[in-house]
Amino acid sequence: MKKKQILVVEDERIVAEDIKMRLEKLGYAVPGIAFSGEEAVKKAENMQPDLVLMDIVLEKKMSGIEAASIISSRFNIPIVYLTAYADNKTLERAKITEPFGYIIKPFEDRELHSIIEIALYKHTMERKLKKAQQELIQSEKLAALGRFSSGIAHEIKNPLGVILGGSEFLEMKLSQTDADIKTTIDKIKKSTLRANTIVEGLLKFARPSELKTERIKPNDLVNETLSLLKYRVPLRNIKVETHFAKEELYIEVDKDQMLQVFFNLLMNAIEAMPKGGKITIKTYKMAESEFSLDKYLCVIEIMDTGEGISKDNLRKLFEPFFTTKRDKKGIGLGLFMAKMIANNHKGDLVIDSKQRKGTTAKIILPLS
Amino acid sequence: MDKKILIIDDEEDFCYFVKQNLEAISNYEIIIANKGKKGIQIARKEKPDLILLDIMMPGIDGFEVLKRLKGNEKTQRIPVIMFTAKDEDEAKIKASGLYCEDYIVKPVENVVLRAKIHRVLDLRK
Repeated sequence: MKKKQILVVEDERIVAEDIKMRLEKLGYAVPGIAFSGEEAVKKAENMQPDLVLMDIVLEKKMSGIEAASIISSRFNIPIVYLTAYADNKTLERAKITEPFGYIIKPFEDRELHSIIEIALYKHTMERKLKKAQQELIQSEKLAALGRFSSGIAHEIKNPLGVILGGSEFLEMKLSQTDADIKTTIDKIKKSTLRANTIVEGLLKFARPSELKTERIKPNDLVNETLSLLKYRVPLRNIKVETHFAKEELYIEVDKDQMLQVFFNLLMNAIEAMPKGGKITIKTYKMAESEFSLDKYLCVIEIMDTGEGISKDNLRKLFEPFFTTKRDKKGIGLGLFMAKMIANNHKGDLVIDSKQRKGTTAKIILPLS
Repeated sequence: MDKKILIIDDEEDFCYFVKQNLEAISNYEIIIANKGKKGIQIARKEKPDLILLDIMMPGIDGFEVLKRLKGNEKTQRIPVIMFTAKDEDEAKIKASGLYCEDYIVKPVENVVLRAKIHRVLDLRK
């Protein structure tokens, strides 16, 4: 496992070097030392360490407390204070920055180790809690939106029926006489059906259908999606490579829904590589978290060498109706639905991307 | 003899085009009822060969109409195709234990509409 990175902020060089050595002995990595508050903020931003060990009293303009406050609020990195003396006033000030622990100098390695471990654990848990809270709010919002959409969708389908019926009637009556009329009617029909696709999408999201789960191998699921895909789209100059987990993995999923997710992700990958490229699909087992190494998850990774997604778009990727494929008739529900399906399986869908390098989508599911 | 089809749907414009589209390509005789109760009355009197029945209607809805049609000797053998706006309607019909021959999800293209009607009528030959 990757060593935890700790940034040491201490203005006395010898003390700083000593702490660095002790931390490394305990199994941590120390990518840098900052000798002032200003330097600490800069290094924290560049290195994004897992934790900052911060001396409260620093010689230069910016105190340890000020630097800590910036680092924790701006970059969400946990802080552990290091101090030789702690008068009440300083401690009161330090408390406001909500540190994850204090270490009083001089200290033993044991103390250092346990305080850092507790801080890392606490920070991970806080992050998880925050994520769970956000998901809860999101799911409540979605449920309300779902009820709303279901009502609207139903109301829209009736007039769409009239428009479609009407244009087909006109088509029968008039299209033989005038080619322009035929084109116009065709366009009306196509738009009506497109509006219907959007409404269908809304309905699907409004009513997350009950999961009909079965125990299957993720590798089989990938193979099935690939064979389906080959019938539907020409892969042209796209190479598909699979790296399957050697061990037998099983997941408990609604096969149809999961096929839809894989299909969606693969289509996105293909569309991201109009000039060709490579899709790599991997399946593997991953520990649920660094604190519960006995619990494992199944990861299905789909990686392309396409154009990638800008940082700005990456943030909006899972929003309903967000699409960059408006011109290709995308309606912006694919990834939104895919994530929702993964979530309904107690899993997740995460997407990472670098522009001009490619995109990696990971479907993470509980192992069965 | 020409087949008689009864459409029970409160959406008048929709009925109008279904009628136009079907009459244009066949000799079906199309009767329209814009309310559930009226539909049941007509069904009993006219004994159509097929009923196209919408689910969401004010007053008595399609489920209730279907129940009454299937519960009456005069109409229980008439095949029914339901118009639905959502798949969950299908689940509801199944759950209610009622039987209908087929479903059509709105909006529907002519080819689908015709094919489904043909299929149901052919089965009855």
